[in-house]
Amino acid sequence: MFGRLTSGAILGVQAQRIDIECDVSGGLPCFQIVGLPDKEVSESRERIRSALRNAGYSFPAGRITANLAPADVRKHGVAFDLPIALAILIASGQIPAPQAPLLVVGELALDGAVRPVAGVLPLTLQAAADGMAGAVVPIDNLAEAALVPNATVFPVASLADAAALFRGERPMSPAPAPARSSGPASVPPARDLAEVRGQYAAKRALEIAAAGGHNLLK
Amino acid sequence: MHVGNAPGRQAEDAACKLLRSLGYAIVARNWSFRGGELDIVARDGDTLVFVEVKARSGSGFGGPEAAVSRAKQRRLAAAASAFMARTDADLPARFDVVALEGDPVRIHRAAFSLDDVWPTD
Repeated sequence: MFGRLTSGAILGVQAQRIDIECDVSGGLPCFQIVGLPDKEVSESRERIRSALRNAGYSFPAGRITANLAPADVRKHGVAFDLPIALAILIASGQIPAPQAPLLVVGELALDGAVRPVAGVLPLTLQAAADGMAGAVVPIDNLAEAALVPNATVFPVASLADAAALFRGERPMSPAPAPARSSGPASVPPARDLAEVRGQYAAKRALEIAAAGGHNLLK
Repeated sequence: MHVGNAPGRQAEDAACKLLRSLGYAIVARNWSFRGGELDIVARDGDTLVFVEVKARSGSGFGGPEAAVSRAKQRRLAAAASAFMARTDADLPARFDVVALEGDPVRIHRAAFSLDDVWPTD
């Protein structure tokens, strides 16, 4: 039995579409994630196992293989938790496959709650550019996803929430975009980096870190 | 637990009773293969279940579940693999542990998986 979903990863500042395929077959119990996963992606197996059970679904017996394609891109991060869990539910017939292509991202807590992930803005942009029917994102990332004009966004708070969407128990209508806060305007103007003389390497490091949203002090 | 081990035999009888009451069908008992032994092989619907029975009289050394070590899991996995190869069963399978330690009897469904036993990363 087979299930397929679309997710995405961030490479630099670009979003890359990642297809998630899941196969559930007979044999001794074994859950594998293939397709060049990093350690944190492999660890998602434990979160997925617990989240499925605690959300009231059964973790299928037998052999489960999740493949993240394309296989030549190294996958890291925790955003694949939710799409892999949903692909397992599709492959084991516990929920139907989505009728229109959806991009799905989200980290799972052990109780099945969905936690926010990084990179939702570029991923939602990519989904809209690819002509996908919508993006399923953690509810805490809704404000970020809603910045994308014309994107259809489905915020979810839990695995059960996302499953309800797939089963059609929740209307496939997007969430209204939350009222925009005044955003950057309310932040007092900061000193300009251009005022700093010299220190080219340090300024370049600050700019690169700011562009990528990385920590500098660690 | 070889045949003739009376307390072990008793524990397995009790476990079989529990499994039947939960709707399992017993397929085989004490199926051994090269040093590995499967206490009970059962069917739970369309799933083949390899059941390890653990009994313990006192809880001083952790519950009976603690006795199913990683090494024991490997032996069970090897025996289960041999069982599936012989019986040509292409069913989904899982490992359950029945722990008998006074009342109530505890059953742990899907107690472990091959990716726990032989981590790939």
